[in-house]
Amino acid sequence: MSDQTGPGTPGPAGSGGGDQPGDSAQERVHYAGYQGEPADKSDQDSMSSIFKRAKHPVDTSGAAVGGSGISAGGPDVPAGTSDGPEVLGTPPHQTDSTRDPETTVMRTGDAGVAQPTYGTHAGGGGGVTVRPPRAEDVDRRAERRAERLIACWFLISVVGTVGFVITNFVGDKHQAYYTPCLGSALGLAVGGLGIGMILWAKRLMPHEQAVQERHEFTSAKEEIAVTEAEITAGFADTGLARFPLLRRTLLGAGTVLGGLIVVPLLNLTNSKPGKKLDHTSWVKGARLVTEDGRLVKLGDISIGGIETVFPAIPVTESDGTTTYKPKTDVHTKADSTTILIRLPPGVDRPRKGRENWSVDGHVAYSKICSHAGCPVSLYEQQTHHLLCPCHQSVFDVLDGCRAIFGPASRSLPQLAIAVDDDGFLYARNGDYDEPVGAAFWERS
Amino acid sequence: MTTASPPEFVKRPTPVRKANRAIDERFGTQAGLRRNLNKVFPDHWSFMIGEIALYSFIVLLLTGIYLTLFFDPSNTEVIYNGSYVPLKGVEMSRAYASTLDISFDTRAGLVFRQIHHWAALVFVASIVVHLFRVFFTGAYRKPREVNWLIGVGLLILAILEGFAGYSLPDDLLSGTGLRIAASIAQSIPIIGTWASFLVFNGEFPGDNFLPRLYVIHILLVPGVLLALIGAHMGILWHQKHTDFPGPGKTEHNVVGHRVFPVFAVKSGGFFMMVFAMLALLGGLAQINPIWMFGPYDPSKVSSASQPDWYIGFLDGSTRLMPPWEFRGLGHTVPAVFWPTAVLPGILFTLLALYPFLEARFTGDTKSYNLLQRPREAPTRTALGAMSISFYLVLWISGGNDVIAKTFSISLNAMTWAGRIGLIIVPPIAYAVTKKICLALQAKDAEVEHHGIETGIIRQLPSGEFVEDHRPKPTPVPDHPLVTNDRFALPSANGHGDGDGKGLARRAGKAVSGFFVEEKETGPGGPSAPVGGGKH
Amino acid sequence: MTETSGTPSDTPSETSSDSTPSEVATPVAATKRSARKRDTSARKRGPSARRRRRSSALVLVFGLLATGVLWTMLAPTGNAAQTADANEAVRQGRALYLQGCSTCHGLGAQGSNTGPSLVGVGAAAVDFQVSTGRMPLAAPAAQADRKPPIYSATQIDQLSAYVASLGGGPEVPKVTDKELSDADLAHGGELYRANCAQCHQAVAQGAPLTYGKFAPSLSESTPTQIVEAMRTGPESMPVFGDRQLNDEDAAAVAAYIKHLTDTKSPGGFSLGKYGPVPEGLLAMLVGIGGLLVVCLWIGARQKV
Repeated sequence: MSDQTGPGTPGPAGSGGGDQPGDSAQERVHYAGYQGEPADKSDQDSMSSIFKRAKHPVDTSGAAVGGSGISAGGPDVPAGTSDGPEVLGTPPHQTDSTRDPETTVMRTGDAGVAQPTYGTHAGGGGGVTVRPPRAEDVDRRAERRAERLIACWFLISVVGTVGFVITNFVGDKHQAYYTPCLGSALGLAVGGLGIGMILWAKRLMPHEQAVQERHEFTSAKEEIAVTEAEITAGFADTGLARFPLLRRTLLGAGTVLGGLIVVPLLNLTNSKPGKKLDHTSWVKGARLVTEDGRLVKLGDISIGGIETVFPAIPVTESDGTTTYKPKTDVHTKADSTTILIRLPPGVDRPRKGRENWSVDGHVAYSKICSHAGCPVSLYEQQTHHLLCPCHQSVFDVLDGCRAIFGPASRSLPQLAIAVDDDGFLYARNGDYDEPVGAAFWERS
Repeated sequence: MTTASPPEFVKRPTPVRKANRAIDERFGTQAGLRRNLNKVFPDHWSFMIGEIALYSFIVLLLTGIYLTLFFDPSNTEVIYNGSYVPLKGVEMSRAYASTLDISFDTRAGLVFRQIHHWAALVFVASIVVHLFRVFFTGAYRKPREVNWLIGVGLLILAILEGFAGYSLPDDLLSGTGLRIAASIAQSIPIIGTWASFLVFNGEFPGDNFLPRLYVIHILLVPGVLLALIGAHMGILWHQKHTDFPGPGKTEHNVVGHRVFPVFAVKSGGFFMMVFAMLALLGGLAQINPIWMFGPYDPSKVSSASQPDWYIGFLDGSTRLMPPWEFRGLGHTVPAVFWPTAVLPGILFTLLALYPFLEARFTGDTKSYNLLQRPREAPTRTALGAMSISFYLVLWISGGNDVIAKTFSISLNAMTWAGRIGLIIVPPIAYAVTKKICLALQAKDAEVEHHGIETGIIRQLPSGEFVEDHRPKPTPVPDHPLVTNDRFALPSANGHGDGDGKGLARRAGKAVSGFFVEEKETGPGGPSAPVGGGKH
Repeated sequence: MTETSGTPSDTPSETSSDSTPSEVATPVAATKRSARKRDTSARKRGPSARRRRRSSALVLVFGLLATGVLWTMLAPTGNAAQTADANEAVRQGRALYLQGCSTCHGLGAQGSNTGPSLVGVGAAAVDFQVSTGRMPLAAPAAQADRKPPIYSATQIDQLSAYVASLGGGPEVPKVTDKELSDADLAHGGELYRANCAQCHQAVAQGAPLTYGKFAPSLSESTPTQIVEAMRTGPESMPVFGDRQLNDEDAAAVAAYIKHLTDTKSPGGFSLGKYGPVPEGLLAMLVGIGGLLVVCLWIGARQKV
């Protein structure tokens, strides 16, 4: 039935070739009762229960059966049809003036209008069926009840709003009840309105099955031809085809101007990468200092203990003495954070060339994960594993913090430490001998 | 067929009519107004999922405006002196301090902050569910590919916007996330280091990065989001909504409610419901308690550091990635590059191109306004199930430490389960889904040929028991046939449950209506076809 | 600080070690191990340290006897004690030890292949392990989990006294309520985030470690147990000695943890205080799920 005409077309012709609306009801009844099965009992029951309280006597025999029998719609297009003054093709008086020419509306019917039959509309609806009437459509008491229910929800909304205002101004914002009360009140305020509106639309507004014709998006061939011709003519008027120099310089200027976008992008920073990622704040002789400014001494950490340390930079004062200035600003922490671990004696297996990088079981490694830069600090003192909490890379501290599980592929860089005469730990070689943190393109 | 006489021009207008006429005299609105008010929208429940996204976006705008009045996106270090005792005297950025002030010292600050965060989670989630609906019903097919592309763009932007918002308070959790983001930027071959430096204004954590992020979060991305949402809805409005097949529904019409009044009131009510749900979540369920995480410090971390759910799949892919780093010629392509930059690039590209790929491989270039049921396109449905299972494995792996802790599973076992699952689960999902679709089709075909089981068992004179089959009813003549090559399908669950009384019952029917575009009738009642096939 | 073997005693000594050779490591080995441990810990020895040899020897003789019988036999042997109360506690603790702990830790607490040596771990470790119910171990696992303690507070004190009498180790720290209420919460929070949050999670809800081990939730831990854990480093946990975190710091950390776990959440239900994972689940299940129900309601057919 692809040749179906628009729903706006009134009359049987609109329902598409071959449709015989007049016969359909009977046919459907026939199918419903096929092989002598009992007719649709439940539907009939539910319908009749309503009609017992009907505002107007309605003949339901056959209608309900027919309505359900043909039902084939989705939830939004249930079976059951209606008729009345607002028949398809005979637009209802209250929608007539506002009706879009291509929109056809079918309704269950207004209160006060008898619903003698439930036949299928044959008009522009093109077989669309309308829901059976609701209780509210036929029972004035049901209608009033629905109205009261909706009004009740609107009043609940008012209560919520008032509650919100009172809680907001009178409530103590430092108490644990404050936020839950505000949220509940606001939820009540908008939710009451929402439930009321939905009930209003569902229960009290007339049911309709509006049918609107779709536009064909493809334009007519003539239309396309005219448009293309006009654009072609306009393009010819610009002369871009005739003046190649104009065309090329324009293109060139545009491209160059487009390239200008790189400038603001590059202006985003004054800080060029350079070799910045290769270095941290550690310098030779920098003492290890904790976050709260305590210089770490040998013996401060118990066996199996850890400490997060930062560099304390040696500064020679004017009187010749050396003081140590802890560097614990956020930029230093981002790359110089180091984890100091005290291993039991004899378990460490230092790498070649790093034999004297540790002091009495104390080893220092970069705390910045070689995978994505999180602080690796879940130290298991029995297995001597360091776990990164972000992506679960595991490093074996005894084996030079080699990555043994997870997505990290590089060992954590080791900081060479030594102990001075005063018992303080310090960086003996200065900075790490490789970049710390996540890898990058320029890194070998 | 009678035609009602046209209404008369009211000589003594009410104020509303006066206003209408004043506007019309200047803009000539009447025809367009009437056309748009009479626009028809189909009212299937699943068409409202996209509305959840729209309404949570509005809630995001409203609550976001409130938050901007109090939030100070500054990296400047201050000493906190607000009313949250356990952080008194702690050094922190102004961004973090002002978030604390919003949470503890601003009237209704915490509730709006929490609503904002919940709305963000629900916003992205509803976009994804909406995407599922559009995908599995084939709603993206011609002529709606452009709207599909815009939708994919919206999803990506929503994720970016969410991540920016998550990162703004400068707490320990979000700072850790930014650090990983910087490492990801840094991992891009050739331009990575520069990209990271340009975005963060120097080496991480950069100089004054938060104001930059703030502009992205409250101006740039929301502006683009707003424009794209406008385009998305404008195209929808212009092209009209798709609909499921049903009696009277054709490729050339839309059946449903007109915008005014029913659709408008229902949608308005639904907006209120979305707002109410978010308000209840915001008030009753604590989200992102940044005061417990502490200010960001690059040397500190909390275990179980997670991103919000929509980034979870990237976190998962990063966790599952084997330590494959490519080194050579003095350069490195870090392991973090593949799961966080390449993988989402491929995933979103495939997603965006899917309508075009499908059209190409099926050779189907027709336009469609009627939707398909998932079983009618087994390959598409199976591909969808495969993609979802792939995504789910990644997503679950993104929270594998929490799962490991909660269910006392070894973390390493979780990682390996994810790695293996990522390879074997999607093909299984594909095969199983396709089988199910084909089986359902076969069942439909059987009903087509042998009729519907009636449940009536009869004993034949020979003593044999047989079940009566009722032939599938032929299309009712006055139902216009739908111009769609599909089986005419009777009810899949023929034992109808009548008209339910309770909400659950009606909801159940609506759900089944999603899969079976028919109304069940009474027990053993006849079922009519969807539209009318040729069978 | 020397490790001496038993002095003259009323029970047979070393000779009996061959009666249960499979269960007990050689006293010499145990001695060396404990001596090493003691170097790093507070040098402190109970007056009854010497009697340990004797008692272990006694146990070796009667290793297979029922523990009730053992106790009745052992009880009179402690009469030689000099400080009555302490020795009484030690003796009772030893009896409890033999009954409940010696299977794994060895009759002389020198450890076996199923349990570590307890020589030198100190009273704090015992108090922590037993009062949190981790010991005695219900079944071998990657890590012991917290469960209701089996022993009463008095019994735990006795066990602690006994193990402390074996030598060394930190004492049970005293964390008073006043210390807790006077503690600087902000300072405790800084220390917590610097030293504890990486494993125990920012809100002290615990998190997994590698291969089935985990950092437990601290919700049920008492301040004393928290400080004990810091001082002794149970299982995977690193040790935080008093030169790293002094007693005041430790009390502040404990106070902060208790603040985290016990304070009412200002923003509603705390969702397990586990961050974005439960939040995402709730957004899916309640947020999206609830709104889909609303969709169904709006789209549902009318009741007729």
